[in-house]
Amino acid sequence: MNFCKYKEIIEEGDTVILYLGFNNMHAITVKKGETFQTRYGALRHSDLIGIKFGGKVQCPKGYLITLHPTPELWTVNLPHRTQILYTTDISLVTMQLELRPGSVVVESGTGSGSLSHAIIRSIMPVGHLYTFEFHPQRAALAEQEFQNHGISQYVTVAHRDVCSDGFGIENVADAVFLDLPCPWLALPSAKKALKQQGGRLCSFSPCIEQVQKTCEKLTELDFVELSTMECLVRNFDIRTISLPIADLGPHSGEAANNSSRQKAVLLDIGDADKTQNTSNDENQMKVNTRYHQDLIGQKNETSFCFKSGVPPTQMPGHTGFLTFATLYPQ
Amino acid sequence: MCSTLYSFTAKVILMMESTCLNSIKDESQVLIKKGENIKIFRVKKGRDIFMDNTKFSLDGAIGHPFGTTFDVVKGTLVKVANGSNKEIESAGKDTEGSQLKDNRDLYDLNSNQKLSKEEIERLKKDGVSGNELVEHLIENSLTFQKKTEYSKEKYIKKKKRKHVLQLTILRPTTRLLCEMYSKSAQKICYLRVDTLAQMLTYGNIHAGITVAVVDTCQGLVVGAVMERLGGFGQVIHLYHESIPNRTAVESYDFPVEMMKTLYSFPLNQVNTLTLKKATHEVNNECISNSDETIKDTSEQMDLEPDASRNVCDALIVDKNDISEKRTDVDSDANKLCEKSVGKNKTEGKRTHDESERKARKEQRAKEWKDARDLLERGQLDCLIIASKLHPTPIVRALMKFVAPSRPIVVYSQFKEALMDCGVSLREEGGMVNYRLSETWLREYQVLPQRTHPKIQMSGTGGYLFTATTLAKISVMTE
Repeated sequence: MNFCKYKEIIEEGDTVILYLGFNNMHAITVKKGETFQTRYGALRHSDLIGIKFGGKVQCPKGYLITLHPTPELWTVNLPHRTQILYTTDISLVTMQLELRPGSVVVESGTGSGSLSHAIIRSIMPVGHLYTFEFHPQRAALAEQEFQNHGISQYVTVAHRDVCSDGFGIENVADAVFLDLPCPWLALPSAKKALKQQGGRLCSFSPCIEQVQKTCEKLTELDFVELSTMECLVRNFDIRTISLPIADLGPHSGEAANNSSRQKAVLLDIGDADKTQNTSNDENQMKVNTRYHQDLIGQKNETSFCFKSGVPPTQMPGHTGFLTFATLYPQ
Repeated sequence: MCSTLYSFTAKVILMMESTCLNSIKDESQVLIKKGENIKIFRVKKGRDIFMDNTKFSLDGAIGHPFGTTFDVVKGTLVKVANGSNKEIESAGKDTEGSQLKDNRDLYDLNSNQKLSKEEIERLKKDGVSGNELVEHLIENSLTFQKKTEYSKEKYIKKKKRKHVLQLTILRPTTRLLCEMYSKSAQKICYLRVDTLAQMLTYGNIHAGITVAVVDTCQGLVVGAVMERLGGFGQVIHLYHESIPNRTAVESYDFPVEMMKTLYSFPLNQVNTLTLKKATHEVNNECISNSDETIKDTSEQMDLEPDASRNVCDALIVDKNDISEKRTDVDSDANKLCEKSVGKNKTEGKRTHDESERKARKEQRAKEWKDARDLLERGQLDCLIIASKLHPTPIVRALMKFVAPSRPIVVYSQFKEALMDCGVSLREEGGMVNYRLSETWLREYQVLPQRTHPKIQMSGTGGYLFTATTLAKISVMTE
């Protein structure tokens, strides 16, 4: 199937993302006669054929949704052969490398192909990706995957150690991406791979010492506009929160007067009309105050209720430093 | 069919390569980068521009490739020889014992610099180049030699920024335009480069798709999407207010062929859109790319024009009564035309303007119709909203035109607006994979022994809401 071109109906051989929940998805390749075990029971692959992407499919104990694959869904569902780049970093890399249809990109290493899929999506149908991987099995598996996903015409996979042997291509690339333990070793060859009119380069490194060495080498090689950054994503859960209101005990003396004045002010914000009608009636005002509609939530006698975007209590705090640089025309 | 479409647009790409990518031409849009400062200009032979209080002409840049660095010498651009910058950087370097120095003996005094302001001005007037001037400043600084090596470097850098007018001319790209707009982020609803980057990936923007974009960010999002489509596919800009504001799109200098992939439709007409049944539902591998599908649908729709289009057509046909027939379809854009007409009193000019106006009106009605046809097919591959408007009603009105299993991406400066969107859509159903997120971007200074996060960082780049659409019928029935 063609991974990077939308189609309507699921056919044999297609990759389908089975969606069971936000953090519960599976990527499968549809093959007649096979079954896939889900939380809702067994799913026969043949049941998927002929239905629409974005449609529902019934399993013994519930239904699941068939989504069309995208590089982003693939990233969260792919078989891990290495650490992978996630969509937050991938987005920034794509933007900063100025990828577009027609771009020629050099990537090393291929790893599990997470970034490769996103690059191919952005540069097809007239660009090309040269991806280098020093692990023979990983290179072979990536090549197979590109084949299965119908995107192999946009990519050349090479089994090669670029740090010792270089990229072996000259003046072809608009952009180079490096995810290597010692990126500075590959930089001279990366420079050669870039077009004469110049181009962009990105190096992804988890450690600052790697960044330091890379930047020194980049400067030495006449790269300019060096910029190192870190990008993190924070997801919010939309929840209704109810905070109990403290019992601060009975009022007495001056405090009692103060608090009734305070209530009047609150009422003013929430429901000005009512205040005007009842401002002479002290008792009435107190009753209204109890069910006061605040601007950001609802207050009653015992609690303050509001909707909130709640960030996770634990989240990834570091993926890697992204260093970008430009090579101006030589 | 796809392949023919592609080969056609491949020519566009090649054209872009030849016309835009390589060299600066008369009439080119160029980004001028001086340090952190980026500005956009259109090259016009013989015209001077102002930057950093200096007047100069860009004529000297014509013919040079993008990415060339120039010195401004006596109002003209002179190409800087490669590597000449490095010499100055290392001018003040002394390697011995600089680590041992510190600032205990340095005092902040105006007398530290022997050259007076007047003397500096005179040197400048005498035509002393910026770099020479910086050398003069170093020579006449009483404290320079006492500074640490790092401090010297910083001093030189600071003085150069002030006195050397050296700039690099770059081709406008989304990355650089974001950098330019970051200085005036209110113009683009505080959308930050990393947020826009997320929008383009989560929207799965790629060649050959049809994208609807609601954009009140000067057209930056429209331009970014067009850049990623590279002339393959269609973009419909749904615009707020009377005329689409697309300053940023112009900055990209897209070739004419690529501009043909851009359609416009006013937001205040969205409620008149009705979903049309596709004329043939077959296993067409590239429904969204098929020219035939577009023609078929539009032909079919010509037979059943809806009310608002009738109004449009009437406006075109009836040339005498235009002003009387104006309805809410007619927006302020027409009033603007009207005004300009009003200024020209002569009869001959009037008829000329009238026909011109008629042509413009026809043109716009056609544009609207094309955009309407595209939208009403209900085969959008992505819906992106990046505006100052409350997003919920817009998403709810447009989501039915998005094909199943496609992403929708909504940006807002405020999390609460997207929370409302999320809650409302969840209630309505028809989507999965809801996600409300924010990205955080931190930049670093990387220098030997002095690596640390930058002192200033952006506090917010806005928030994103993304979701995936579902097949319509199956959702309704089950």
